[in-house]
Amino acid sequence: MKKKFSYETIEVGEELSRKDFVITDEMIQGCAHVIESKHPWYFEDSPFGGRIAPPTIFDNETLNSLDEKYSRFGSIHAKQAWEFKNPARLGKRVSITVRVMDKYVKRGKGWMIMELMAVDEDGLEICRGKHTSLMSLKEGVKE
Amino acid sequence: MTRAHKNSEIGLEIEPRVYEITQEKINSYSRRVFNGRDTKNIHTDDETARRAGLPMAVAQGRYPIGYISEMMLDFFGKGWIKGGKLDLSLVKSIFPGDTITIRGVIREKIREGDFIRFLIDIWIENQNGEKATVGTASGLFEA
Repeated sequence: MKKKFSYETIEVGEELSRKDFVITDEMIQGCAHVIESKHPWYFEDSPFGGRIAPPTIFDNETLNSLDEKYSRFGSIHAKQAWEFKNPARLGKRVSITVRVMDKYVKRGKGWMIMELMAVDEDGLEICRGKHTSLMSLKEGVKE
Repeated sequence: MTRAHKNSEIGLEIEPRVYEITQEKINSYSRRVFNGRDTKNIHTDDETARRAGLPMAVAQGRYPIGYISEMMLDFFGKGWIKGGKLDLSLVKSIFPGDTITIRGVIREKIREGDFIRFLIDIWIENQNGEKATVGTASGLFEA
């Protein structure tokens, strides 16, 4: 059963998910399509040897992980940071961990920070993302 | 596209990128989030957005960040995939029908071992010149 999504119930340090993905052609094409990219490194070859995924390929995983654990009625994405460290290569298995880094109150509203970390099967860190959300939206409305 | 190199001057503006934001593009992004399914949420449905206190459906905050990443990939090349960083604040909603322009100006060049990190002030502005996303991007060139 999902937990209620509120400032009080969110636990700092909590691991929201740990998942493995294999980078597929479908994932690369789907991501490239929505960002209107035809970059040859995604579709043909790259200087890294073989096709790679757009660096932002895991941009949905933070909120997806939150929604798997909490019954979220909505939130506002206020800040986003990324560090891209190595290419996400077609066919590689990537392990993604999402956790709650922090929460705080500012101007009477609850905020939370989540961190995503992606590591491939060779132990190479692919990227790190930091997602900051304002937690208050009207209850009953889904983002 | 303006190609930067290690001798590019501080203050150089990267060639801007312009994108039309349509409801169909937002829906397409949403389908990617929900494994190909059409859903009603604040991004795809005006009524749901109004119940959340928004004037109409809004683009996902993370969606245009993919456009920024593509612009930086073309600018830095390999030094974006291995070494790229983004730090962004999402300060204003982007709506269907908006025309957004991504702009970037080199602020600083910092030596990092065998590389030079270019720090870029980056922002997305709408057709009225209002900034929707502001922050920095940085990537590496070989020294």
